[in-house]
Amino acid sequence: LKRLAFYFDSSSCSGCKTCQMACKDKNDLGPGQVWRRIYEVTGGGWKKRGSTWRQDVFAYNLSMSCNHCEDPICVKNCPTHALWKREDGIVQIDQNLCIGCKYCSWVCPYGAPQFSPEKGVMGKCDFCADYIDQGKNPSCVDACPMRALDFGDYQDLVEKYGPTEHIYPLPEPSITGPSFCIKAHPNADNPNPKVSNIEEVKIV
Amino acid sequence: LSDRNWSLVFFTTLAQCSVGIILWFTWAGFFNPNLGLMNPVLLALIFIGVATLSSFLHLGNPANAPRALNNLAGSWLSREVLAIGVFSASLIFILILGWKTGNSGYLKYLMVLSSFCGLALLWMMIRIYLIPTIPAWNSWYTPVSFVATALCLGLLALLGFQLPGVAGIDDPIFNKLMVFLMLILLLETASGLFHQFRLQKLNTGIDELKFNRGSFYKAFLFRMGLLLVAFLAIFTLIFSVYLFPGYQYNTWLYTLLVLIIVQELLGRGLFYSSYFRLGV
Repeated sequence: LKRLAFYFDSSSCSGCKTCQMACKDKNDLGPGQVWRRIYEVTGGGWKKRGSTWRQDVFAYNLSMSCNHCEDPICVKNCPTHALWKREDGIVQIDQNLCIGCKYCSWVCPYGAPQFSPEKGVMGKCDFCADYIDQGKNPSCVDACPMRALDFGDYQDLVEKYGPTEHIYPLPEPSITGPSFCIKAHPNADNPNPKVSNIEEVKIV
Repeated sequence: LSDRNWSLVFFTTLAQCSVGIILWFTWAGFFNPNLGLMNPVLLALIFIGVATLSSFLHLGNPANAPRALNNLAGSWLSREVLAIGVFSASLIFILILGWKTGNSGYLKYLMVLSSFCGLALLWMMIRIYLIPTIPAWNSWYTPVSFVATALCLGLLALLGFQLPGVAGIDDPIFNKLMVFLMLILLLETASGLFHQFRLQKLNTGIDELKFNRGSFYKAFLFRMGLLLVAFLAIFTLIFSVYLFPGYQYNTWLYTLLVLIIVQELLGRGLFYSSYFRLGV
């Protein structure tokens, strides 16, 4: 495998957050640290069309961890080489080298590197590299009751599930080349929707 | 603005002030035996030293700080750390040599070298913030504001710490400096207004971060007010020195210096507060 990637089916995700909890459990993460997160994107309301009122309410979920980008902006900018990329594409962090400057969390458009106040250093999803080395699946993938998550080589995933789709609130993939395939929810057709729970979707 | 970002506000402004001091003394014709050489170099060294100490406050694991030099090939942050070291070392070298040999002529050439190290540091500080995923910082405003801060605070240090005692306020050199200061403040006002206009046009996707309302907008207006008052005060001071010779302007001058320092810190605080990134 040259480029390990996650697949996420937004149309079948129920937002139960089991993947989030499995990740926290596996990595023994403290309060506030969520290396895999569920974002619920909701909005819409009533609109008058002619003499009638219609609703255009939308809601969909997005399960997001580190996307182990092809051109990881965090690795490029890390001053200590604490962030590095394995041969199989997994972006890892060596916490012994980290100085906790948080520059990686500033620049990452996916909110992957997160500061651990207890340790004073950054932490992030490592694709459950220890499980991968043992031939097992990442904990989030196995935990998903809806089978909305999958993983594998990026090209294999594209062949299996079709070309990846770019949905709100993800940034242009050309910036970092995320190793992430996504099947969009039918509601996610607006590239710039007016979201009502923006505080849950973006860091404010 | 989080508590830890305040350390970055002080770090960047003090480091840029240090570079500004060296730039003014080396290149603007103020390098002369009457003003002395060692005081400004010592002042610049103190400022870059305090700035470096301040930068440690935003680190989660300062014990690992020496490792910040590991990625010189790819990270502007690593390069900035190296540039701080080289710039500080050049100042220490000048001080030691000046102390051993007196203000000999060749120290002037070392100052030129040191000023280039300072410019390199300034450039690396700018590059750190030109990040494609942070639209508010990834603009012409970052280099303009950083250079303006260096020139403005460098000049203020000259006015506040160096000239009193060696040149009176009615000395022509003072007027020359005041005119430069006015021009820099004009640049800061114009760039600040254009940047604010650009921020308001940005699609942040975050209602709470709208830049044309709330505390951000109030702080911006307050800063613009401070800039206007400072500009008018300098303008009045320049003419008052001629109209009322012999009047003691020191209190007025130092109030003006405090006013400008406050607006610089406020401007940098606004810069960090404007952070938002693309994506989630």
